[in-house]
Amino acid sequence: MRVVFNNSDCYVYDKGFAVPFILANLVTGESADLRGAIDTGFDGDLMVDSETYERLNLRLSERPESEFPAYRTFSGTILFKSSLARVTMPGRNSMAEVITPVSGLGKILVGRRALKNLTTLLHKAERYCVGDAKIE
Amino acid sequence: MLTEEGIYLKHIDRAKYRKLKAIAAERGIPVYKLLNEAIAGYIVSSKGSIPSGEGVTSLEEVDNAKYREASETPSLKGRWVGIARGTIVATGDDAESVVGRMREAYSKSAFRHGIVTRVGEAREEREWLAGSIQQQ
Repeated sequence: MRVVFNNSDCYVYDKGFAVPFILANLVTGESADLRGAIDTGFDGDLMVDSETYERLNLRLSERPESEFPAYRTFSGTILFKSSLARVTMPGRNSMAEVITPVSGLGKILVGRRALKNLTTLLHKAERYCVGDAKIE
Repeated sequence: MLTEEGIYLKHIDRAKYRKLKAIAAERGIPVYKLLNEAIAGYIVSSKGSIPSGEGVTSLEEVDNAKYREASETPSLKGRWVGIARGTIVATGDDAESVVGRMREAYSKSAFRHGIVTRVGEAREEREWLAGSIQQQ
């Protein structure tokens, strides 16, 4: 089996595995270059910290409050705000659900739903590749 | 506070009032409901909030109240809606067209909160595995 990535889709390991992506507001077009830690325990698309959510004005295309997702975690159920935004990452340029905690700061994470569109290769604590690679 | 008592207003533009009646008929709601929405939206956009005691107190609440109403409208079930300033800006079968109309509305007059969603989606409780746990 052979997996072929573009060189630009590979990164040197630095404390963790993270996916670079551009997040843009659907209404205003404001955007930010971000890096989200790969989190296979998170079943959604993307999480951002509340500062990024506010800075990008993601409240302009929010889901209704009655549909904000609730996550069951080790420390209880946490309620998140949820918005639609455009995400550009290797092999993907589409709308995605972006969440941030209703209370608290949050982090930048890339979850399983976003990872489904990517081929991910984690090579020890040396380098990793995330992209639209083909397996031959 | 809603009362049964009527209000008599002079100098109303008849042509615009007829259009308002036509919109109300199209949506299957009474004219007074449409007027109440327009008044609430105007107060919010000019002052940023509605005085307490009027049922809604913030931009988010006005939009969420409008969404609750939309979710009870059978013809909107399963369709995408865009809501801003307490009014339905767009409806459509796909998110892209609704987002396009939200963008147009924002370029004409910037709003500070908006909802983009498919009507009738229920709140999901999702599970978050241990992926993001980090040692302090």
